[in-house]
Amino acid sequence: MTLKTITANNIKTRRTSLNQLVDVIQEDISGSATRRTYQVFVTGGVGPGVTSSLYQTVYDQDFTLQTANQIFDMTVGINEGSDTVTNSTTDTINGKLLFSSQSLMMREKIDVYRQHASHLLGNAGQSFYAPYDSSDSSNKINHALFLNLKRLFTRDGIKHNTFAVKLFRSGAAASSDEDGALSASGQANLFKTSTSGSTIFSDTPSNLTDFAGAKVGNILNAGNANETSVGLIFYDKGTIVLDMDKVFSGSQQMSGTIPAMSNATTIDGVSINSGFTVMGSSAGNSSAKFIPDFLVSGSIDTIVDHIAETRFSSGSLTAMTFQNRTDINSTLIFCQATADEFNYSSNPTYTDSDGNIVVIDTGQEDVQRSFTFPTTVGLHDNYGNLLAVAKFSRPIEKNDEKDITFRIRLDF
Amino acid sequence: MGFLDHSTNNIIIDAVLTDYGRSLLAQGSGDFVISSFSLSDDEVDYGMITKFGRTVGKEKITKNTPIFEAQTKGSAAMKHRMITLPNPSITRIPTITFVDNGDETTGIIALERDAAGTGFLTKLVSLQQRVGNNSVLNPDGLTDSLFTVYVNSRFLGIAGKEPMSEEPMTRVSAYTINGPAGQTGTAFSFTLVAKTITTETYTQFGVSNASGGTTITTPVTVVGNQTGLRKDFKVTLSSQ
Repeated sequence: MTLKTITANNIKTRRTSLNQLVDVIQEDISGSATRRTYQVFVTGGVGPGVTSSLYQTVYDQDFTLQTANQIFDMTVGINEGSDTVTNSTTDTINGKLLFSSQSLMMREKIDVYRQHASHLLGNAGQSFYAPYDSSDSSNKINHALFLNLKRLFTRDGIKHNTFAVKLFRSGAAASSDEDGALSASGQANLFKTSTSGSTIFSDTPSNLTDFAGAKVGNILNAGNANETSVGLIFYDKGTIVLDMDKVFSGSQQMSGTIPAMSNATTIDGVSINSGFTVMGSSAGNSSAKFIPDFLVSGSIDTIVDHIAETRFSSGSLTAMTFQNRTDINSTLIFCQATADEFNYSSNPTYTDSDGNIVVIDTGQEDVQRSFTFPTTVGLHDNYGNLLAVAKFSRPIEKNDEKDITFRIRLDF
Repeated sequence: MGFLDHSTNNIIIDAVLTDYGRSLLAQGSGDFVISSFSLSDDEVDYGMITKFGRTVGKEKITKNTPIFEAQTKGSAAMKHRMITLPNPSITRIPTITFVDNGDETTGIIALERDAAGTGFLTKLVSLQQRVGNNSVLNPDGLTDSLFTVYVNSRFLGIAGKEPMSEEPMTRVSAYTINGPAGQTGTAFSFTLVAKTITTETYTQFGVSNASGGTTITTPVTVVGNQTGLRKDFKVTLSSQ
């Protein structure tokens, strides 16, 4: 007989967790080759039109390579009830907001915010607050940066108290002198990598849960405990919501060339390609700010490009880190081979040409007993079909003086 | 397939589901029920005991036998199983051998082409389960009443039998045949039938032979259902 029955008492199940450290490198976020855009938004009307993504995906290497892995999606959203929206709304038709011509993708930015609110708060009309349980209007997140970590890296969730992100709160300097040097190629601070003023934000676990019962934490300035929460982390959903009013300097002057619905070829005496405009030009709003001007006038691609290219910096250092959690459901199967069992083998080397067992010395048949060296355990179903195989790292002696129990763990 | 790390004193167990186990899980029908286990020792060479004696030989086997990683192909994962016998003092174990000594020597059976030259004649394969070359009784627990024969269904079948199962990827079919009733090494047999083999199949799986044709060589395995005793041999099919 080669099979031994396993009783229900010898099969146990248990649940464990495995954590892995994930580091996201600055240049993976800032590089255009590792950040994929999806040109799904197209304008009509004035000028050649503007195309943009609704979100961008950061990869761990050139995204055109088959071996590239998606790390996270990044997008921005604006709260429909914020001043930024109400101040730039010109009309409403059947609930559809109309905006001034200086704006771009405002409805899409609102939709992105609403979609995240629906998914994370349970109601598209709700607003994010940081801290999560606050209802103070000063804690309302009106301009949100959403980082949606991919399941490939978060697995079953983010481990509490392990998330940290390093952000440059201000862009490169944009003085009036620089604004005066604007050219068609947009030499300004919009796409100049930030080099100073970085802050590390990390999560603080809480017992708070979102509408679906999933854990939520607050994101704080790791170096300044007095600063209020700057964002939220939804551990089980792998989403980080950052309040751009708090993590970035909203009043900073921004300047540079951005896509726009425009057919002008000259702005302020400087030649420019049709379909672009110059933010911060003296011909327009010479003191355009990050909030609200840039968030209103920039397409989602332009805003995400700016944040990814400048605010995470560009280098080989870590921009974001966290530990993920993989929940493992294991079945433990205890295979007990008693003293009298499995002491013979069907291995061809076990017998000589006359059928004598070679592990028993000639003339010692009455004294010596056979033994075997199993290396493999097979798990079978009721019909003897092999369902799983387990191998030992070395042969284990089995003889009539040994009772061995093999503990096999199958992970699901 | 690599070796398992045996550089530490800890015993590491590397467990995987077989392709059959995974397919049962995927079906979600609740048929994935582990109800029994078996042991095998495919990597072990018990000749070490003959060469070095029981004490040193055991140590050589334990320390000098690297173990391969687990195989997911069920038909290849466990070849030589451990046996539980009611009598602890057995010193001889039967093997499965060809009745025809010629076949036993070569381990190869060639299917002959039929007169028309379009197919192959059937081939009766006779085997016996006996201890060495002697006609002594098989010990209790070491005689099988049922055997499983594994053949590649691309090339072979067994006359009068339907396959019990077939691995989808390897196309290895399993047939159940009856074994001898007694313990005296009575022969048992089955008839191999060649499938229709196309020119493309010869091209894909065959190699050129001395007659200017192509020969396909395919393995056949016979395993005792109770004892786990195993016989492997090859069958050749030539286009000319």
